[in-house]
Amino acid sequence: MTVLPALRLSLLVAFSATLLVAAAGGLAGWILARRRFPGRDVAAALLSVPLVLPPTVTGYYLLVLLGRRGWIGAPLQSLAGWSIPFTWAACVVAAAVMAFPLMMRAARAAFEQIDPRHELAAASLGHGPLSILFRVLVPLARRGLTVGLVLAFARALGEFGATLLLAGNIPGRTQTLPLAVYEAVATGEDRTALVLALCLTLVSVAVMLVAERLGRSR
Amino acid sequence: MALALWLLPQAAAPASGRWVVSVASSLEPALREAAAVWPDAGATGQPLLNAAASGLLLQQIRRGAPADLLLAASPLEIDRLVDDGLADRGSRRAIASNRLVAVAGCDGPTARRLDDLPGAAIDRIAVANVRTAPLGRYTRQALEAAGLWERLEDRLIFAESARQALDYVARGEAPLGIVYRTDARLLADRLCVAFELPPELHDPVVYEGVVLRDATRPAEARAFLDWLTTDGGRAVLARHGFLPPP
Repeated sequence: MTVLPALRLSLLVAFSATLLVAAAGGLAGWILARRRFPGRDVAAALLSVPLVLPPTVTGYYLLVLLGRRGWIGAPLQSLAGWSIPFTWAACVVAAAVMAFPLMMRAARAAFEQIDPRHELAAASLGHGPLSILFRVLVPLARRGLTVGLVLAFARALGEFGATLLLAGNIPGRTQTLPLAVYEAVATGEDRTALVLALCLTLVSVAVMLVAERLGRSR
Repeated sequence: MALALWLLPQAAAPASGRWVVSVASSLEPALREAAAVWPDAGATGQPLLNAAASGLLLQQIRRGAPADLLLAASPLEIDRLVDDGLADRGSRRAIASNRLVAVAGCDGPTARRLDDLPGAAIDRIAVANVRTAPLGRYTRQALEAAGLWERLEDRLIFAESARQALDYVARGEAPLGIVYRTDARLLADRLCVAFELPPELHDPVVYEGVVLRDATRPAEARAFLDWLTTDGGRAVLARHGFLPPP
């Protein structure tokens, strides 16, 4: 029934969100690790807040922000005729916002462990900041960055609360695996719920195994 | 310490002897008032209300959630419980009925009847979940009977309950939504009824109640349910826009 579309959508959403988060979270982690600026702690705390906020609260903020009358949603609607809520893009946004802090924190920790003298040496050889980031820091931090990516992917795959509010629960369009589990339980389809739950559990255990391995063999 | 003292009664609440009415979310505002003005409330205590889509309530009860009385927005859920031996067949009563309406913002162009929907500039229609909420089921029946379901399917946004569908319209996320007439009254200051759906297009919307087999206070539950069918109970439901049962 709705298992295959939900699985396909979930994978599409999780990969897209991870891609976004890899760039944004990695960049934020680098800035937090290497730049001194006023309000850095506040910025780090605010960007991490989806980790501890109830997902429904995050979803509510997103709906207020991106909705057709929202600060971002209204101009988007009138300029581009495009509206994010209740589309698969909404699933991606919700998953990315929830997964972002995991990537950012992993990246920050990984970058902070690198001896700044590597960068000084590269700079003295004429490398600019971007060249240093991609040729020196990213290769040195790749283990930590991968752990962040893997955790972000798992979080994106499992997103429920913010997705339900921002994307709705539309079978075939925005119904991801976790939403399908919810609906299967709500309609008494225990067998479907079990199959879906096992699917998600398998992927999650595999992901945590990878993260565990990478984290240990540092 | 003060916090612990404040939290403790909450943890102990289920054992405190209050009984539970699981109620269809569309009926909840009316039932809150009914529970407060019920003449026996002083002697036996007001019930706790557990509001959700009727399909969800059914699954909760099947899985052993504590409840004394179920008030559902369709006879189907009650049938299931009676068939499974989880409810007291003899206590079953119809208490109210309802109509479906299309709501929209009060300004701007909108549809005047069901057949206007495909052509109108309405890119999203908020409806209730067809699998858990009876409202969603009725909506689907009506749209199918009108031959519109497949033409409109891409525009439908499924909400978990009528209240959420209403909220999507109020926020402007969907220009139009299909909800119960009683729901539309809740936001009458911001939303207008565009049209009523012809009731012959769907099963009659009948609210029914039944006392559950595992009720801890079956006598109170039954007394309350019976009172809802008296003039006193009917008056409260009518104030909230519900129609008498067929």
